Amino acid sequence: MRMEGHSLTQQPRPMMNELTSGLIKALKLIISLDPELYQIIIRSLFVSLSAVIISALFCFPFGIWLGLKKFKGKQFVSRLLYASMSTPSVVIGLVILLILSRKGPLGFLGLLYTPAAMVIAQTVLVTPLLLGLTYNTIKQRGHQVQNEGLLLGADSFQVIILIIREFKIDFLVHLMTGFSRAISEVGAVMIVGGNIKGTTRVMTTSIALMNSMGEYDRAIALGAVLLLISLLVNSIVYREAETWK
Amino acid sequence: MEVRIQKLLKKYNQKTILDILDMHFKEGTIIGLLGDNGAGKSTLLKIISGIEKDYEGQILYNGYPLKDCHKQRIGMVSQKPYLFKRSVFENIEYPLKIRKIEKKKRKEIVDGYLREMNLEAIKGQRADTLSGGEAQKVALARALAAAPKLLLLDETTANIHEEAACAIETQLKSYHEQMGCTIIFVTHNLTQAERFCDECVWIK
Repeated sequence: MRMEGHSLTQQPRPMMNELTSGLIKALKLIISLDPELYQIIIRSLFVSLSAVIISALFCFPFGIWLGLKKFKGKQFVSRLLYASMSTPSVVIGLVILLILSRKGPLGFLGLLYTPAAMVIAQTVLVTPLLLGLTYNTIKQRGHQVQNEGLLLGADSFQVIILIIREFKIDFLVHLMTGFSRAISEVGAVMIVGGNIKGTTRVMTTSIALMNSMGEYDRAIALGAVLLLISLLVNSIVYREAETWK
Repeated sequence: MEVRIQKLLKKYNQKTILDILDMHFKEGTIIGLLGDNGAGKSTLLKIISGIEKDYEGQILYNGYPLKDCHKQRIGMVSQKPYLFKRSVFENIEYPLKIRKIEKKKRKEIVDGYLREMNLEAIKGQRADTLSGGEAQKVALARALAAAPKLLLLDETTANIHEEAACAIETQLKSYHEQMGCTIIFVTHNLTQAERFCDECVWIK
């Protein structure tokens, strides 16, 4: 027993090996322009960016309106909104699956296991987050801008434009938060996309698959690429935000 | 612009903030609005400006309730004005831009106010980085650029030293003479009220 224990401590740490070889493989995959990897990356970006843009088109105007408007039950609505921000992605995936499945209300569209279904799932996932963040920003600081705009003679539309301009950096950060939530999500896209090779496989579902197959180095390689993309996108956006200040 | 307040009642959390039976601000006068802290002076200005709508009673502007055409002719500068996150020039230009005044004319008007208010040196500076006194001047220039016929000033010179306050008063007097507008001026300073205003109203 003592010998076994001793020999175990003498062995190299396998996880560190996996990490190192994974990172080397990641570099090789990126440099060799591996077509499958780039297809997965492009699909991941397409699905997540589409979901965030669609969600923002609804959330920014509605969040501004909600933040400025005084109405009965506003406190209840805000609590509901904040609670929905933490909805588990698998629950959203399951609901979308039931809606899009053949027997579901939108089954006739035949969208299940397509990138469109993944965009829908991620849009639903990101919407409470973007709406909640926008609502909170406007509720805290929007009234002052609104009042100033109205006093200077702006109409309702001009006030909304003014608010978007004044809070553009906040909105950009909200967009990035939404994008980060979407691109790192696995549960919903796995359920409604099915992780089909060449069709609905994205980076997170690939990592989950590689992990279950024991291909840790490839999983780490994809993980590293995912981190790199997040870092790259965030850096570009924050650099832009700095120039706006 | 003439303003008449009739049977105004403003409550906040069951507490009466303002209870005015009848008050009249004549056209073309400078009225000083005085009163203790919490008397409701700022609330009254917000009600007159149209941004505070939750009250009972009636406010008449040239004999009519508030209409969009009146809103375009009311200007207000609060004690802590909000300046947009853009340059001083763009801040003053904003009311002219939304009124779709052509670019050349806009530049002419803005340059005029920058000169009058001694703001030329900082015209390119971001407005949210200015000192309190400079910010007040920019806010005032922006309000005046919209050519209001009713100007509401909420302790506009409270955070500025005496000399700068006098300079702003001179600017306001000159604008008042040119435009014949009505100015309602909230202040705690009795000397300033005597010096600057035609009439004074004390709110209890």
